[in-house]
Amino acid sequence: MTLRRFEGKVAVVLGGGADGPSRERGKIPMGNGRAIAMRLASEGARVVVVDRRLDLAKLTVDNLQGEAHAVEADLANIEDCTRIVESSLDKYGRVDVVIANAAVSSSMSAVQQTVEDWEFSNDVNVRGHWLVAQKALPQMIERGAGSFVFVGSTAGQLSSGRSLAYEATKAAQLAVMRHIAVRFGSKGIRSNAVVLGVIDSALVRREFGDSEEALAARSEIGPMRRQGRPEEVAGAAAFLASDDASYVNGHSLIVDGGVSAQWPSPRKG
Amino acid sequence: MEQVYIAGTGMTRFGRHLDISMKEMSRGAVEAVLADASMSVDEIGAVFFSNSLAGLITGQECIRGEVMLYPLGFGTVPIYNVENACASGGNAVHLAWLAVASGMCETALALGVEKANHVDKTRTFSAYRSGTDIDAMFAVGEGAGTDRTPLVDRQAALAKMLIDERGMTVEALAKIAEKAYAYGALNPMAHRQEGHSIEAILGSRLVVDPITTLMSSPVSDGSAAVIVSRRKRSGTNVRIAGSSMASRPKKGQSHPTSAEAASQKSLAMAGVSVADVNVAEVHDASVAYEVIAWRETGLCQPGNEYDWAMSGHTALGGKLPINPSGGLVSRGHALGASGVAQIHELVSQLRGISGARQVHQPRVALAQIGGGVIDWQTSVSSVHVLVRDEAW
Ligand SMILES: NC(=O)c1ccc[n+]([C@@H]2O[C@H](COP(=O)([O-])OP(=O)(O)OC[C@H]3O[C@@H](n4cnc5c(N)ncnc54)[C@H](O)[C@@H]3O)[C@@H](O)[C@H]2O)c1
Repeated sequence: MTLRRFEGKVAVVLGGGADGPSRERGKIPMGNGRAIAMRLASEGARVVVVDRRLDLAKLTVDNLQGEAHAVEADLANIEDCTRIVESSLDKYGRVDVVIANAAVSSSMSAVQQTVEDWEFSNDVNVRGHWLVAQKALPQMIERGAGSFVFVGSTAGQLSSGRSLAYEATKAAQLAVMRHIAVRFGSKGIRSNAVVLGVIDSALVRREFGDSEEALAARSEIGPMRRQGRPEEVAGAAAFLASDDASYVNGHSLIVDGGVSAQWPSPRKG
Repeated sequence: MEQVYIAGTGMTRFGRHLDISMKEMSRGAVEAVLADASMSVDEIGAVFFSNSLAGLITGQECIRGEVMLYPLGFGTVPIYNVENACASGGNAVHLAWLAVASGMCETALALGVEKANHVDKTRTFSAYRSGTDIDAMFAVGEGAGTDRTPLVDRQAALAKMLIDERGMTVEALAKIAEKAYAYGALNPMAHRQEGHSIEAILGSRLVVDPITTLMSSPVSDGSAAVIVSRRKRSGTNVRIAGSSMASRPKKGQSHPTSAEAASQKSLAMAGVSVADVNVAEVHDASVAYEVIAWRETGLCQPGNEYDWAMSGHTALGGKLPINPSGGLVSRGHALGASGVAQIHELVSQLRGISGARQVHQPRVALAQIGGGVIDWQTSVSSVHVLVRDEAW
């Protein structure tokens, strides 16, 4: 049975251009935002694919099945954030689902962290998501229905010691998620997050390399002995966005193949 | 259906007119509208007379229109009495349009007259109660209906909703009132022409938190009239391109609201979209309701209200001037006349004769007015779309 959980609905996917490692012939490279946009479209949603790179957003639109349009917007820019929902209302008259996926990452410790990077990370990873939600909420509240899925990171819950700004902003992003869940739950709004471990995407390859050894090392860290795929993120995000999750609110769904379920026990000598 | 043009409009100054009778007010508006249309009484084929409270204020409950028009030389033609609370005037214009559009007559008059003020204020406040289902009064605070109209309690609840759910602030509401007073100061027909600053608006008496007296429309007396006709007038013509009325949704349903339904229907009838509208008059029983009306007419997306208020979007010179007459808040709210006065304002705007209040070359105008409350929702709304075909 093919699921059609988003028939008649409109979804805005921030960072929906997300590219990824190249795939076998005939398949486009896939990042998390793109995979989510394609999944929602395949289930009947009309999708507004938002990215600061219009070429990537267009590639997503051209490759999904269904109706969609690409919007160029920089989440670090306040005016751009307000324009996003407006363009969806102009085009489709509504926004039912917001996927808050776009993010930037860096790798600086508390000693190296710069103020510029701290602020930029906050602008994109937190403020941008909130500003879009601020514009989307009133019309959702008016209809008494709406759903947010924030694409979070285990780095927002546990520290790998790699990047202060990323960890802090991904934690703050989950606070925004919970606030919306709590404050507007009574208005029919749900807000949840998928909290990702290591997904084989452009972001991860940029940060951790894409050599054979690097890939193998990443596969080693979790009980499933492999990285996650953006399509697997999309499955979890689509569940949270859909009415199948109608009583799931304020939840952080960990999608990390069990990495964070582990306790690093000492080996027998 | 016949094309319906506006042959003339006229009104008397709104205000607290304890010493002017309803008959005198009727005369003022009828003389003004006949002069504007260059017509005589004998050219009018039907009259739709709108008034809400006369039965409760003066005791003239029956044959109100006939009583007012008899001294003015009207005879034989049908005079229909129209009542629908604050929407009475819009209702009368709608019926006059229908009478001409259907071919029943060539020319019809919509006349709205209200004398709501009374030396005994409690009489006025309790009369307003009948704008609700008196058997099932919605929850109001102490004093509603004795020291204020009970409808203010609903306005306050709407204001709170706008603050909680749409991002409005009390200052933004005050800013909308300031805009209304800026327009009203330029309108010689306005009840409140003195202008008020944001500080004064916020500092005026709190009626029901957060609504202050200067955020609400006053209780006004006054009259307004519109003549519609199949015949074009000489000079610039304005036609009624869309006219409709709607009631609140069935019990248990919240959409479409009466204003949403009427607005969608009138815009479709006119073959225009909200983006084509250049100027509007909407129902601002208080500034909270004005903001709701921006949304329900479709002019404003939910969530943009605060930006509209703070950026001057609806002020003179803004992208979409709204309530250039001053609206009910400043021009005044004479129940049965208010909806007719909105048409008077918009026709003047479309003809380009609004002087200091003139909006830049409008072609499409929208008027919305709502009336009464049943089960927390406005029980009836009318929406008119007026079009000027002639180039500027
Ligand atoms: N890949 C992982 O292993 C992993 C792990 C944890 C969390 N995440 C989260 O998943 C989300 C997406 O990650 P991804 O791996 O697909 O990343 P990615 O870098 O491949 O994609 C992010 C997309 O967002 C866009 N974007 C970046 N900054 C933007 C801005 N300012 N305005 C508009 N668009 C902008 C980029 O152009 C890109 O298309 C992020 O929220 C990230 O924190 C990913």
